[in-house]
Amino acid sequence: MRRGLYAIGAWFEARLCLCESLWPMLTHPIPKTVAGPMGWWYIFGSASLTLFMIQIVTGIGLALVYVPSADRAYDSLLFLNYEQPLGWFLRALHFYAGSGMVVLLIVHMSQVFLHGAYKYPRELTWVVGVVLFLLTLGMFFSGQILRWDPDAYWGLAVSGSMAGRVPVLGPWIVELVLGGDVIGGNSLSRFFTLHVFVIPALLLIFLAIHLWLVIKKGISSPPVPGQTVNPKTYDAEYEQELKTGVPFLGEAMLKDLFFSAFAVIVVVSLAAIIGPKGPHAPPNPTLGGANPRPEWPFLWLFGLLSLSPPEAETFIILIFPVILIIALFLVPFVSNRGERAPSRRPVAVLSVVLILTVLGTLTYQGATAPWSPQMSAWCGEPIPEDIVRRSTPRQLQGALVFQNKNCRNCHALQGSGGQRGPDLTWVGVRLTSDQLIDQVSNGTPGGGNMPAYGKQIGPDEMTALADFLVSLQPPNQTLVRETAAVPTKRKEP
Amino acid sequence: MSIEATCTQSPNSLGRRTFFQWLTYGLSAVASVVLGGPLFGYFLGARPRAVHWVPLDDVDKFPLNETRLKSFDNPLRQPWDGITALTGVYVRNLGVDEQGIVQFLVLAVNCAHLGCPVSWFPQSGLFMCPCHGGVYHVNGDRASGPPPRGLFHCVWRVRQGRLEVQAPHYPTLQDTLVSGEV
Amino acid sequence: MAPGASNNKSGGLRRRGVWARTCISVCLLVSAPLSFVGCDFPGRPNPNERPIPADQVVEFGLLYRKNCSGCHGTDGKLGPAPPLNDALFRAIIPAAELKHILTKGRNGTLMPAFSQENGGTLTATQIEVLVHEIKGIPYMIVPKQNGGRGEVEVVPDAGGISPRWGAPVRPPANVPSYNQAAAIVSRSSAVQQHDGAAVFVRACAACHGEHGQGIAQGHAMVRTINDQVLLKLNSDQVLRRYAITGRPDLGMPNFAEPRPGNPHFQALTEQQVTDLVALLASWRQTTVNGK
Repeated sequence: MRRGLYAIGAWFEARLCLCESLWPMLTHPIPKTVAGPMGWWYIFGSASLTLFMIQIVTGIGLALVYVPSADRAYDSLLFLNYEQPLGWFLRALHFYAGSGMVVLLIVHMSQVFLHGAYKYPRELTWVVGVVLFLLTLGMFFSGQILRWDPDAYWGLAVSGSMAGRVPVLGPWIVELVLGGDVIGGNSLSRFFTLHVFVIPALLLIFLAIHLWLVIKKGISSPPVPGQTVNPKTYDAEYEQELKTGVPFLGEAMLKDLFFSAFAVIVVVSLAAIIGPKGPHAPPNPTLGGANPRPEWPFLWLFGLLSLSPPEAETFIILIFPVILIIALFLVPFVSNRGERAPSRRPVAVLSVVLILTVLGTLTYQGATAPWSPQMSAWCGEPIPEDIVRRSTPRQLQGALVFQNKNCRNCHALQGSGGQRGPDLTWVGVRLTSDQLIDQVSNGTPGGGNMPAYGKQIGPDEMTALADFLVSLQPPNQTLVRETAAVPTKRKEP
Repeated sequence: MSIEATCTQSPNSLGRRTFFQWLTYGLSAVASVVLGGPLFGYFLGARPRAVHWVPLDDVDKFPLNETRLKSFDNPLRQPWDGITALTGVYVRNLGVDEQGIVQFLVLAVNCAHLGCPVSWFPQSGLFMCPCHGGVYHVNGDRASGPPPRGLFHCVWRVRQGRLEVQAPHYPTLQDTLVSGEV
Repeated sequence: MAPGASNNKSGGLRRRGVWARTCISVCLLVSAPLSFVGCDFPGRPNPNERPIPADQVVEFGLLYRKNCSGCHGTDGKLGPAPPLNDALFRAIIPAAELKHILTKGRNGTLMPAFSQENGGTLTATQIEVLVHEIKGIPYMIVPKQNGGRGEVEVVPDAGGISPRWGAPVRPPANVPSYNQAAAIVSRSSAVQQHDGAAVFVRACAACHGEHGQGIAQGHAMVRTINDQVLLKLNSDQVLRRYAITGRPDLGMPNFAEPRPGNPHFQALTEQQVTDLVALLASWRQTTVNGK
């Protein structure tokens, strides 16, 4: 039997010639140190590749059921969630493996950057890696559109509006993105095609190039301070180092395998415990209360757009991302020689720390979105009961004006309500009645954030409102009134 | 190799070979154009935008000086668009002008900033956007926040006592709903 | 050649062992994903929690929290607006009036219209749910007859959804009517205000002061109701409602409950409530505070 198997193998080998082509490639030597403890720095790329494999399998699975049609996509997602056995799990896994892929790619890129592994002769490996990262982000965005809920619909609207800002060509690009005059089935088909055919094909092509470069140009050895890269001598030095090398396919792979298995267990557990994301309500664009949010890899841009001055906006939308991408591409061409050790490259370390901190902060801001008015706060966030208990009849009426005129949508009381304007819990300490009336009537001077309410609030309403706002003071200042008020029975009109 | 070498050396066949070369290049160019032209046209072209008038409701169904969200099935839709074809507009009856003609204000729901749907708050007379906090006055003018302009105005007309609106495409800064307006 | 082919006893046994192990492994491999199917993982979405578009929400708790709690309080009490979760109020307000207020808002107050056709966000069905819940009438939500797909309506049904705040208590027989009864003989407003002032002294002055000017507490006056600003933002009907139901959540007694220092308080009559409201209404124009 063994001989029979061997014969079959030999028959294929005689035609495929893998022993002389593929096998030497897979067993080519890599620096010995990679097989040592420093090898733990090299596990992130392979783990993201593993998650990408999961994405392919789960993606095929989801495509078996999903219907890329604007009138049925939502129903097919509900079917996946509730009817199709393990459909919910596949959806969840597809989301968490995709998220994990983005996270691992960011870690992988940071590691490569910090270790100077992009320097000669691996510049192209870095450039192709950046392309892979951008394509993965493209997968994330187009994937969110396929989750055909209000977030998807308004995500399309936002990307359409962003494209519409391109000078001259704007309207044409909008039509190209949306696939028509309105957001609908054409737009969905477009993003389905991108998500399922175009971007995956590009990903596979560039992945092949990336892996080819990894194998052909070899894995960089862990950096040693003082051991600099000089393009003139590097190749010879590297060849020398490989003489004591270990095979690529062998013990060095064990750490990769270990971490990949760990990553798989993490994303599977997340999927099983947290479950699929959405879909939220059906994509009815006429329903109020929509609160569109981008997917997490784009929250930093959402945050940046909200926190930047309006004049800088078109620049941030159209030019800033291009600059970022060009900067990423240029990294190996700015410095492809010299020190590789992070300990000798403080600027590199600082820039990674700085970039990750800024991205993290903006992402946090984007997730909490304090600049968004809370559209139902005026009727859905109660006036705190201790304020009601200590208010006079007129102040209670002012509280009603406060709610009725939608002030609460932007101004919180004791933390609940909109965060766009200042929290007014203790506004009575800061402003007098006259100042409050002026602020409410005229808004922020010069067309700032607060609109003028002068025409919307009658004189009696304004008096009551100011009385209520002035009464919002810390307990120690109202202590006399409060303690006296508790024992007696209170009467209101 | 040797046969080829002898062939190219013959002056007679040289002319034929050069001719065949140029013929091949020319044919390839023609093939590229007849293939590429339609493909480019398909991928990058846009359908001409049709003008449709959508009847909203009888004029007297819109109370004077009040803003109402009116939704309709957008005729610019595809048959398979489902509920995403629903489009909302804010309609305000401004009453009759000096000539005795009833005037309306019809605004698209899309925020002029990045297209999110604004909500109308009658008590404070403001439109608010849930994305980046753009705020507009009752007449659609920008009140505060990041929008670079006011809300997009729709084209409307009254026919046989009914308010009709020109089916709105997705409005953006350079492609508003009123032709000529930027 | 497979080792088993060299046939001896132990080889046969070993092969059976291999077979058994293979069988068990295959069974495990097949059943592992199957058990995954059967298990209830925390991530598995619950069909009962599927997202509902805002215009199809008919669950009272969610409707109330999203639309009413801002002014009327988390649980229908202790908000700046009149409490809705008030037994007496729920018993005496006519269902038709409740529906009218929810649909069109209440004139002369800050209560806005909530129905879609009046610029609000609630559908007719959602308003019906609120009316049934506040009135304490058990109801069912059924597909609308001759309606389109997904259209529902609310019908009273004793065996249906029981209101969250319970069935309303039977009001006392002597409770004044919610709306001013037509039966009251119309008298001149001067007479009404005169009589109303007497009622005020008997029923309200202990807490609101002799002329409604309030009670001094520290530097400030509290419970002031003789206040143009306050009265102009409240309609006569709201004043009437307060006179009847009081505000139990803030300690204000209703029309019949004993007053501070007067444990044998005699309940206000229909006529007295009407006179009292006439007095308060007259304060809209003249106020002790404004002097």
